Amino acid sequence: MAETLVVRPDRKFVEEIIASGGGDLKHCMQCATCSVACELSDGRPFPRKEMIWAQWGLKDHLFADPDVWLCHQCNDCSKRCPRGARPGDVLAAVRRRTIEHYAFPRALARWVNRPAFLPLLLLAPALLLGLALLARDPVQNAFGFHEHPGFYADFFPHWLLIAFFGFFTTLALVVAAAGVIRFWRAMKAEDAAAGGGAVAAGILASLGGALGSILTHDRFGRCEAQASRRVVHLALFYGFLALYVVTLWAVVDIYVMPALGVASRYPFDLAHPMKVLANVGGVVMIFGAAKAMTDRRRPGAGTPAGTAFDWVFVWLVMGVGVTGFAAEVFRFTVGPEPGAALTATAYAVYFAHLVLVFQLLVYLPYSKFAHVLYRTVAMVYAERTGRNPPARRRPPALRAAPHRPAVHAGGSPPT
Amino acid sequence: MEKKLAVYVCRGCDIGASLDLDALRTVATDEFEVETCREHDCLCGAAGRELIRQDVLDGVTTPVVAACSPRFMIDAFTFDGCRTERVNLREHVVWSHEPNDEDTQMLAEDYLRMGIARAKKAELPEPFQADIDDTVLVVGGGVSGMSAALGAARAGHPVVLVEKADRLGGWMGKFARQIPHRPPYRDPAPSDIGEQIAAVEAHDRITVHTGAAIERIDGQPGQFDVSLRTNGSSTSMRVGAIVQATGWKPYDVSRLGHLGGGRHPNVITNVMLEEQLASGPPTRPSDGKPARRIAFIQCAGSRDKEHLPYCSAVCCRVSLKHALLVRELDPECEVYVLYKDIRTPGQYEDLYRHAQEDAGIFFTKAEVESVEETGDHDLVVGAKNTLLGEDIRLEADLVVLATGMVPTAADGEALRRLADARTVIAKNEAGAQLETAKATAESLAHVDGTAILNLTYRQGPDLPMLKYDFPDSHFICFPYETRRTGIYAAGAVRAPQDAQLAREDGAGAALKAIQTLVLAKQGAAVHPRWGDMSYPDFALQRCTQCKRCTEECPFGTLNEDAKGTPQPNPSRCRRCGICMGACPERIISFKDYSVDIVSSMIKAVQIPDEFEEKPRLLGLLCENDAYPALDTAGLRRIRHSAWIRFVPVRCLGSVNTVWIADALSRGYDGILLIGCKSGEDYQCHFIKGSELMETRSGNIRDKLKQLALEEERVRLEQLSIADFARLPEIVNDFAAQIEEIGMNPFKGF
Amino acid sequence: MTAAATRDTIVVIGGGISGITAAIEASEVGCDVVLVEKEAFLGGRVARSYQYFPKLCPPQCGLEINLRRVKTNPRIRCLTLAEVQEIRGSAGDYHVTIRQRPRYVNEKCTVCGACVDACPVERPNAFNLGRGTTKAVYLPYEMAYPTRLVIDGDACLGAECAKCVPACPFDAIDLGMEAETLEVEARAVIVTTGWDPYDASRIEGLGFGTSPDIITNVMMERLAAPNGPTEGRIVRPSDGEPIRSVAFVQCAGSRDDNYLKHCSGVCCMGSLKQTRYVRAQYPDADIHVFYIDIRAPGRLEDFYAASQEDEKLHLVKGKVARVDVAEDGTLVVNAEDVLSGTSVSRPVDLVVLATGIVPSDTSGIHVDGGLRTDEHGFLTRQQPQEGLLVAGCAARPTDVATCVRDATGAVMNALQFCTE
Repeated sequence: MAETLVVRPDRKFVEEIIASGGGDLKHCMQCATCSVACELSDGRPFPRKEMIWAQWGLKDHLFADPDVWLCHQCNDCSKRCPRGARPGDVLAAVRRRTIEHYAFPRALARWVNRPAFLPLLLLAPALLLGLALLARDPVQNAFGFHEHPGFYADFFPHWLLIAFFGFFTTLALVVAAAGVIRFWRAMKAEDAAAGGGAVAAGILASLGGALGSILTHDRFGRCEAQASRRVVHLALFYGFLALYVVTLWAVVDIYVMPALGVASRYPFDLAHPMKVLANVGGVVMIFGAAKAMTDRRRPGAGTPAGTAFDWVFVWLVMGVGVTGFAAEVFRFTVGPEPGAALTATAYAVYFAHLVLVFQLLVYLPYSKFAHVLYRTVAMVYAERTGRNPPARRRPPALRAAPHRPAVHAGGSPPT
Repeated sequence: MEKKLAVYVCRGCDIGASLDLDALRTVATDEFEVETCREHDCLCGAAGRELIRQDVLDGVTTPVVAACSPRFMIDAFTFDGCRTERVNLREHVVWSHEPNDEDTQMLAEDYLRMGIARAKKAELPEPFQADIDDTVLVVGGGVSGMSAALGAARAGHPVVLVEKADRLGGWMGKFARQIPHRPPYRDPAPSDIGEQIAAVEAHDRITVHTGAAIERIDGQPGQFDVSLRTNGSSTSMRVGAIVQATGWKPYDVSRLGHLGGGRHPNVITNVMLEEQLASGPPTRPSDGKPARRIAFIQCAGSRDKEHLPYCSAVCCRVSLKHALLVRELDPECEVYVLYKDIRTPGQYEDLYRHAQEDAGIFFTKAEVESVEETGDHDLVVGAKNTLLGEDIRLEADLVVLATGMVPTAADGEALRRLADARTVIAKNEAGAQLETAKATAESLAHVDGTAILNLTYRQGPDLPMLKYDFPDSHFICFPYETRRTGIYAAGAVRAPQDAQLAREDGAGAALKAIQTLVLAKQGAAVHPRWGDMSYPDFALQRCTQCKRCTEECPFGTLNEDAKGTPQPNPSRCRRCGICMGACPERIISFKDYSVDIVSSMIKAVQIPDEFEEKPRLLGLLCENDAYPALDTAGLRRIRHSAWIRFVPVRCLGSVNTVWIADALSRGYDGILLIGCKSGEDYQCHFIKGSELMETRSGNIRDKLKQLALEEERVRLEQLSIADFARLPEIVNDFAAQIEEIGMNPFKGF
Repeated sequence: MTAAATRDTIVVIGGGISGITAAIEASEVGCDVVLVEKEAFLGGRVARSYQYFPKLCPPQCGLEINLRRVKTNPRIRCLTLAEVQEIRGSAGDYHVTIRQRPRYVNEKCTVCGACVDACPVERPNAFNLGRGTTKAVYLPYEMAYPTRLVIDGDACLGAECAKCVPACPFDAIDLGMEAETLEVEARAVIVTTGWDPYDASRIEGLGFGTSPDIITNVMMERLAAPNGPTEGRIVRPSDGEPIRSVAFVQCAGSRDDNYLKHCSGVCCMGSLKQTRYVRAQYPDADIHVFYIDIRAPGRLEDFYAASQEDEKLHLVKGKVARVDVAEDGTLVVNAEDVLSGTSVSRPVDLVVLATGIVPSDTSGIHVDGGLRTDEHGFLTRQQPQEGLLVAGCAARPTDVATCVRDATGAVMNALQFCTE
């Protein structure tokens, strides 16, 4: 048995999973009802195997397991589990721990997901942005330029915001990339150890397949217990995407278009297609966040167990959306000669908006938002190794037929 | 009082409409000269019963009631001081044959003849009377023994409780906690053995002998003479019945070398852990350091063909109890449970569920392949087929083998075979017998000196084993059935079980013990022939000391004197009649059941001569299963050949081959013997009745050869009470076969 | 103490194997016993079973012996169609109120069956769990005790039909019979009310009720029994065709927080036993048993071991989570084989759900202080009234042999209130 691996059960990890939302993990008796209930298991012992790994604290398996990320926590399994072990919630907890595991610095990941640290974490961007603003005039005077007047731009010049966010988001992306690469390697190593992981598709094809699935949210569609989750996620996904695109376009409009001889139309007026897109996106995103909140409060076996990890993220999205609109309202309602007080409030709101955006984007590698990357990567890996579930295997519809009269009737004759 | 028969024929239930009752009456009046012979439309009704009662008042002692099956209307046809003979004209004649048919009529007449023949000879039994001692002897002072003692004592019986250790309590006395046996079934429960011991010691009807062993037990239920040896001194006493609750011992761990048993200091048994936990958190025997990683290996030696093939039933719950206890005593400790199947039946599932909830207890199904030492007596458990999806090696400070339960009982029959072999060797008469004796003595040497009850029974000093050395009952419906009347096994000695079951078991065994006494007082048989007052009578002057009766009695009823003459012990007897069937000299008989009575029934049948083309078949069928099956067939109106004449027997084992010889010489064309299933899953209520018949049918074949008759004329069949549809098929098939073979040439001689 | 002296009366509630045993054992130590059974006959669940594990012997064999002891023992008073309504008093001095429903057939009945031929009404055969029919006047089954017909009051057309009355030659039918209430004094009461099978239609995903070929283990007993709806031929209920493959679904409702939290104790052995029924009739049939843990305690392990020798008996560790019924009626059981980690979707002809044991409802029995139950609904052994003893499946799900021991032990404990 020398070659077989030595398992080292990790009680601490088990306790962490329990603390991170997998509270009923230990109830599992390995009956594998979940593997059948799960629409994504596709013949794999999923999530049954993940459950016993988690019970034994075998984290290395879990951190290198793409399946954990293919789950959308629809909780079909949790609903059917005879022991109330809630595999869906356990996997969510595992994902959270995985993000922490691959994050750098790891400590930051722990803080980001603890509400207690929230004020501190908000304070950081506030201070940084504050310092940047202090540096604004000196820099402008030094270089003797003052450009793009505008309601907010007067106070928050574009060059400053672009430089500021450009720097920090790049930093975040680098950190995230590092984690994601380690994740990819881990998945490959795990498969190799098990003698699997043969490449089934080219990287581009895999990427295409994954994106296709993401854009359509087809896997979400398979969930039964929590069908509405698909709507919610679609809203959040496309809402955020719209706003992100608009923001990028703004940069292009301000700096690239003039160079091409097209006058910048920024700040856009309400009729501008980009503005329309932004407003629609904003509304959709807020709707998504709001519905997510109500859904998570709905009682029922299918309802995922919300943890701080989830709530912080949802509220953040909501905050970004709301402050964004508030800022916009000020911009269009305040007249040409605003009073100092009014202007100050508007600026304050915009400032808050920027801080929340920072929170959302820059803390991405540490927060739930990181799933954007890990899930995508897992899906790509799944496509590449051909472990992805094919289009849904629909079970034959159950026929509600009444009992047909029995043959050989007659029973035990009385005499 | 002079015997007076009267015949009563019922017209009800199609009987009157299907038979010529006048002809039937002449059988009684002319052939047997029975004065009184009456008919009635409904004998079982008030008027019909009154009819009979009046005759009884006028001196009838033996009413012969030709009506429905004797299994029905029992009360209706019971009259004080009378022996009612029942002739089954309903189920066995009119409901299972062509009405108003010549053959049916002949059948009815023959059954009436047989009934009257039996009525003439059978007597009302007089019960065996003896002074019955009310004391119950309980052997073993553990949970089940004490429960039995308390039960019997509280019911008013004196109790003698014998314990070989110097204190009561048995294993439970050593354990700090027990498996929870009342709600909530979640946590190990504090042991309540203390209260039980106190109750036993406080009870004025219970006499406790600790440090005591049984030297010998003579006698029979109600009259057991026991001699005890208590630290050197010998005491003797009389008791009425015995409960053996000698408990269990753990399986010898040194035989589990493949699991490190006896090889590594830090591999211990669940019992050793139990003793550790009584005093504190678990430690490593090798260095006394706290054990922080404990691996439980379930079914260690159990469910294992090499060791104990059976499941010890408690080990899963015991290990769950230990796991929870360990975690409670040392929260830093981690427990790994490697199981084949977790077996927590009923509400005990809650105990499993609760243990699972503990983050420090890890479960997986696994096949443990090795337990090896690394440095410093650390252990590594190697296992395959785990739920983790891979073969694993698991490091542990301490490995606990959940070893199984081995009964503390002696194999009475083995001890007897050993004794017999040794007597042969002692005689030392050269020959094959001596060689086999030597071989036996060698193979059974290990049982020497294991006797516990030391019964002075011909068939051995202890209870016979059922399987795996458990003296258990083979019967699902009758788990207290015993092959030594008045002696009942209870608790873990009977079957692996937990303390709660042992407690209930002890109480049940005590009740059966008391029951034996109640019935012995009346001279009545215990189950299955409950209340039977008859008992075998031995005409010993004609005995040839062949010892078949003493050998074949399934209940060890008979002892032998020096010459080998049987010594009856009626209170041990279960009235199956197997001794009667075994006796070549036909010297054993019951008042209402004897070789002579059945022979005369067989002879009462009128055998048509061979030119009438009407074969006659004799059916000897077990009254416990085959007879009711035939009734059911009748109830369902299933037809069978009218050539057969059935005689119910107490057990196929009570069939004396002379009956078959008689029948054949009388001109019967074939004989059908129908008994219960034999073999490992035998259904015979008297253990080996049909099995004995199989061996005896060997002699029957020889008999047939002597008479130059075809072997097929005698057929042995086994069926269950549920085979009511098969039974008529068997009869018809046999009839067809006999028709093929042709008539018995001895007809008319 | 004279052992033969009467020890006064014990009331036994429930005439199943536990109750019959308790009554007999008590009577044979000299107690008078009133045995109260709510059905029209004694035998309860075992009477409906084909064979016992592990011996594969018919329950009627032991019942025959036991019923003979009941018939011939004057100390036992057997009340069928009767239910205990109230138990007043305390240990050693109970007053038990019993309500007995009318049988409409009196003791004159000889089961000749003339009335059955006359009766125009058919009713579902309750003894066969609704499969097949009997007349409104019927004998529950061949060995039913009391050996007397019974009229189903709900099905019978009553006075305006009354065809059975003249048909009976013995004046045994009394359509005017009415319910009676009896008072019995007793020293102790033994409760052996037994169990009911769990309602399989409540189990999500297993499809009970959507196809006649998805049956329960208790239905399987009737299907295999020679006195059952098919005379013992195990065939597909939907079309009477022979069976080529069958799946046994263990823990159908048991060990499941959504249904029954407890383990029903006997279903593993029950299903292994039923695989033998199938094998006896179909030497080549594929038999699949899906389980979580096989629970075969003690010597019963031998039976499990022997089952593993059968090459066409496939034991799969993994719970069936879904049974699909295709439009053409084909059944597919879905599970994961956890030992190989692969998913199993097995088309079969017949699905047998090993449904669990639910303690019978005892809420109708009024007792000072009430009858105490545990969270699973089983009666606890320690009742507020120490003269109330519980035995058999009323206390915990278990097999016949254990029920019998249990009942015998209960009598022993009852006796302490009976000795003068």
